[in-house]
Amino acid sequence: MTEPLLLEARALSKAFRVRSAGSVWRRLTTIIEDISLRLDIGRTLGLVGESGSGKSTLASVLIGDLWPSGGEARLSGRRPTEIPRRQRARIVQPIVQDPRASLDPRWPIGKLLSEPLEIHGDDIDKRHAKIASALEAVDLPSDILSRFPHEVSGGQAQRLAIARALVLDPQLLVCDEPLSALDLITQTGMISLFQRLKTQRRLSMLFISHDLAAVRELSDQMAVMYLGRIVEIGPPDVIGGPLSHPYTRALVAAAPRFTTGLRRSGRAPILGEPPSHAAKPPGCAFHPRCPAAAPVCRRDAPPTVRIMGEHSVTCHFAQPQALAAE
Amino acid sequence: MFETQTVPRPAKTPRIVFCALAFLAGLFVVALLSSFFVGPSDIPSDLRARLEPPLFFGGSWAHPLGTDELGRDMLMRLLVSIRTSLLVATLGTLIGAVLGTAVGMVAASYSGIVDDALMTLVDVQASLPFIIIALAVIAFAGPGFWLFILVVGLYGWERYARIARSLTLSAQESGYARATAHLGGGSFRIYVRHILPNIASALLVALTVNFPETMLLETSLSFLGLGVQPPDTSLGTMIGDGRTYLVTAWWIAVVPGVVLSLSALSASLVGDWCRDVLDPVKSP
Ligand SMILES: Nc1ncnc2c1ncn2[C@@H]1O[C@H](COP(=O)(O)OP(=O)(O)OP(=O)(O)O)[C@@H](O)[C@H]1O
Ligand code: SF4
Ligand SMILES: [Mg+2]
Repeated sequence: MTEPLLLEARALSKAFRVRSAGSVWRRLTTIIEDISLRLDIGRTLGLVGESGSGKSTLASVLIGDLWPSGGEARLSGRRPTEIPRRQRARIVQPIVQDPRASLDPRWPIGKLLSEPLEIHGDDIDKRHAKIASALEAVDLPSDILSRFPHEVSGGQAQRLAIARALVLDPQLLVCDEPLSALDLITQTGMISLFQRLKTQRRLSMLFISHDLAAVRELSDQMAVMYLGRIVEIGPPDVIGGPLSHPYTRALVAAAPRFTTGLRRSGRAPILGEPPSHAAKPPGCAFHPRCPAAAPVCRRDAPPTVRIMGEHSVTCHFAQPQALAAE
Repeated sequence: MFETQTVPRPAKTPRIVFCALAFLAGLFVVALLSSFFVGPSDIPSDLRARLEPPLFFGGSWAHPLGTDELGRDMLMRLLVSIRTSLLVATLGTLIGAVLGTAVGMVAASYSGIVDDALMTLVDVQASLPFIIIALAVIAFAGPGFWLFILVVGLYGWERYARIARSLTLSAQESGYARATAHLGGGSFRIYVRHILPNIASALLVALTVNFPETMLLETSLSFLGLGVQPPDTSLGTMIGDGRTYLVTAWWIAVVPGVVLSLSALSASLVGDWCRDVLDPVKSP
């Protein structure tokens, strides 16, 4: 019997009732649609995409905070929403953008760190060992335990939030823009911390970030979202390359740090604002902004084409490499 | 041009708040200490010394605050009354606070039908004149000390419920509440151990505002004869008793009246000050 995949999504979608501007009624609006992905133990999946593309919504559905509207999510082979809260906490822990807000301002840090263990009924002596090892893993001194959340820096708060997740020894961290609130130097330290957690603890991660370079550094697979759909998924070294999706190439072109060591495939700035989820363009949702758009793009939804191995692109003009070689 | 004061004034406790605090503290101490010496049934009535005026108004040291229509010493009655009134107001305020907070938090934590039902109850309560309900309940169930405290306790619960509900609604969206849930923490832990301490200061402000009102409610009901029953006595019953002698023996009503006004005023002052100190967003 094979061990179930750690995380899997099959044709996952989520719709909310959203009140559009100037209207009284709430309309059911699909925010994420037809998402399929797989994540193995010890691997990291990076997720990028414009603000509002639905990354956080996808993360919430995957960890069972939201019920999917269609399709299926699986966490260790089970539907996330059906796993009891405490069991789920031992499988997956979210890491959020604003770590300080996730620490109760009235609790000293020592108490906050032992709280997860208290919830899970660990005895006191074991708690100390686990807290010490988690603090060591995130590089924090133990004298921080007597402080309060407002008495630590943003970077330390993020490390604390991670330590608080680590004491439960989860298999998966779902990090939703864990770097955005930090300054550049702190970000660098944080990236190497995630790197260490990956190798030393064999942690899996779903890593959401606007920082393409960071995602590229940490990920084994990268997924690119546009308006609620994954338009490209593949190993980081092909993402943004010549075979990449036009949207991805535009994203990469807009992110200077990312392009080091990667062939730039022409500058293609994205035009204007993304359309709203409520009024998705027909055919390929990216066509109003796509430099390569053709009439077919306005009419038909593009297919998902397997370029090579693990690399797939959802575009009418995606070329499978096996065919191109012929 | 730049006359508007942008720099917050350093928080300095006004002197009058000190006086108010001292007065209230004194009142509580007196009420506590006196309970070791006099009870409601220990006040002898001396029919030969009825309606004696207070000291300096023609009275004597034997009865510094005068005597009432039955010749009972006003000072002793006052001590017993202060104790009763404070007890009713304190317990009443606490009952309302605990009940209202619980209702508000439960409503917020169960959205949907429970929330709607509880909040309808709150709206109904808020739209009814409380004193009439209180009169009806006491008239129906018959006067009794603990029932009376309970009725007084119901006063204002809907305000705590509203405050607690709205604060809980925003607190449950906060990062720390979500994080606790993600760690596997149950509702009790999230609501009682994390959210409650974080919203407590606003509730405390409501409590200090509610206290003087509860005190006045107690007096009103007792004045109407529906509150504290003889032989026990409260500031309200004393004022009620004094009503008929207002012209001939003003002190029977005025002495407890002055104490009542001063206590309610002090409690309000302290309440306002608490609000300034505890509430970052000042409500007008
Ligand atoms: N609970 C909700 N109810 C209604 N609409 C929602 C809800 N949650 C998210 N949305 C909408 O879904 C869209 C995607 O939001 P989401 O937070 O998933 O984007 P994101 O990719 O994480 O963006 P960002 O990079 O800014 O974090 C937004 O338009 C948002 O308004
Ligand atoms: S399908 Fe057409 S519009 Fe969409 S990305 Fe490909 S070329 Fe651009
Ligand atoms: Mg987001």
